[in-house]
Amino acid sequence: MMSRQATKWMIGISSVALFTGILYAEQTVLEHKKVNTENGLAVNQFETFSDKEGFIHNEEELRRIQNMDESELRKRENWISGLDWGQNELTLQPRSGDTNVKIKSHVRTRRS
Amino acid sequence: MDVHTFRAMNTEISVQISNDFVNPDWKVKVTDLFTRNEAIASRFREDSELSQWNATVTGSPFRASKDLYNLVKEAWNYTVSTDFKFNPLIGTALQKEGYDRSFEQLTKAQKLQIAIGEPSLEHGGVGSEIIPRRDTLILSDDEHILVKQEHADIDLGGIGKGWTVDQVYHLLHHELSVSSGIIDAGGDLFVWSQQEPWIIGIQHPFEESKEVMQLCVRQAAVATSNVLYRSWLHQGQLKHHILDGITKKPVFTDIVQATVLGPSTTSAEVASKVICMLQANEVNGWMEQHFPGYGYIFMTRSGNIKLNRYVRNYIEEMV
Repeated sequence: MMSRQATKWMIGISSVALFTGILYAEQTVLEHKKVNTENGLAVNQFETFSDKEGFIHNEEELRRIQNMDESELRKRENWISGLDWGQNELTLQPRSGDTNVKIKSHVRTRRS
Repeated sequence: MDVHTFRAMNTEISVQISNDFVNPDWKVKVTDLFTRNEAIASRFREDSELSQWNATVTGSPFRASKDLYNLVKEAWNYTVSTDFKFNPLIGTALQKEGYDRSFEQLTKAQKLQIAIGEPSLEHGGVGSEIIPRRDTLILSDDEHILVKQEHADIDLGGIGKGWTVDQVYHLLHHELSVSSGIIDAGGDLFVWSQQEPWIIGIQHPFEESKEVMQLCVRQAAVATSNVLYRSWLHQGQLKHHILDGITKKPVFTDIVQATVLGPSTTSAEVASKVICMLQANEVNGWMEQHFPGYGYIFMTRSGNIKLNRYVRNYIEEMV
């Protein structure tokens, strides 16, 4: 009888410890995936792209993106996906300084 | 690229197509589509078919051409599906607000160059006490009969351009097998490409020489509306051309400009107009319900930019 009770205690404590461990692990993952804003643009801290690398500012960077290999493109895709699109809507702060981007558009959408 | 530019519907139209296509008549066909639709659907032209219909007695049947009938039917479908937020029966209200001729013909004194009014401004409008109903407009497919049950002129300015762009896309891509192209009707676009994506800039609403951002797009319809450009003073009050389809009054919210990406220019045009009638915190829910899967990017009066996750379905990069 004593051994049965001991077994029950061991199972109970092990379950609690396991459950606590799962909660801790999940919280750690969520902390990594939290999206913060930096310089007015959403940045996913879990990924390695900084604001400077993530958003394209000139033609050279655009060419660099176009010449990326598959694993780099996948990382970039993960970063863009990680911009918390799951919240349905993203807010970007207005750029400070020059709003005239350096890449020439083929066409411009505007009030008609 | 082969480029064709011309003027129609009071705006500059530009069409670019890939050089792998050879058909000497394509420019004539494209121009014809725009000029024909303008002759049918412009409320500023007294000899247009629309103007003839607007001149008929309320309640009397009007036998329309197939083209006008189809355009009106599409407009009314959007009217019903947007719960009357978009409503072509605003022609009379627009005239009473002072928009009784094409915008380019309004005098300098009537035009307001850049107006950023406070949302709390009082804006008198003719208003409407008529509660819109589905049977306000009766359509008969058999003989293309149209009947208006409301004493109000029809204005198709909110949809005619986009509808024509879609027709031109169908002509160029499906009938003439053009592999890549851009159709730009004064800012409402359709782009498609089997090679490199197109870079589309979104014009800044406050500084029109600049761009808010750029999108790399392979295929999409893109339409933009804003409440700043087509603004004017009428009897001392600030007006603009986007009237709420229910109240028939100009709406002033915290949104100044909206760009929508979707599968057709007609629907993108309608959605972009309605977004300009909503408060910023209403847009996401409304678009999910009425235009699911469409991407939007709008700017508020404070300069914040908001976009939804479906933008990702249409773009390859965001700059």
